[in-house]
Amino acid sequence: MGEYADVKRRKVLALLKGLGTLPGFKTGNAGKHQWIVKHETWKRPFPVCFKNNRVSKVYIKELDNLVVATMACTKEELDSRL
Amino acid sequence: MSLMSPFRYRLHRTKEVLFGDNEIIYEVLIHHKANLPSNGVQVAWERDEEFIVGKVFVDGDTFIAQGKSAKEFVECVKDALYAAFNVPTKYAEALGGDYRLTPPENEFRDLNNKAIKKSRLVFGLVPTTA
Repeated sequence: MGEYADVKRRKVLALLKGLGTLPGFKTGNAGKHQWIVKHETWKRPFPVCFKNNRVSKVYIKELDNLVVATMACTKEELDSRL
Repeated sequence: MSLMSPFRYRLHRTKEVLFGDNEIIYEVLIHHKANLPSNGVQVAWERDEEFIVGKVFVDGDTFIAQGKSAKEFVECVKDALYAAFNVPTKYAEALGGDYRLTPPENEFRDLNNKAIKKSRLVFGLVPTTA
């Protein structure tokens, strides 16, 4: 996880808004403090906690892997949004 | 479904509580309860700077949870599970008292112990009479 760092919440919100425009993706809010990312091929949505001002790099890495696996965009395109 | 900022979402939830339909339909509640994982939920956590960050393994899927304290981390795991299993907030709150995934006491103590940098814990179901 060396190349990642914790990300500010507003940057993650911008990233998720961008993700929501990609084909097959839907984003929204759920639970008490969660954003969710849904893809038509995923069994379940992926929740991202926004309770704190910063979002851990572990979220970003996991989300990167999931999104890149759908072939909707590349890792570089995703990382450029952060 | 639209993506809202934390502030707007809090406002939206407050409006829902004050003016929305807060009726809990028993059949829907039972449906959500049945859909939630009934076996132990595995969580592999580690301390990462200011956060406790954990990977939650359930039904072949992996979710992430984070918290600044042990209590906040456990709440985040529950919140993430409710979000991932599409349980609306009003039903999650209703299930909160009845369906409670809780780590054993000794594992919760480890979460609070800053000397322990990483470990695993299993969230179990507290047996209920319902």
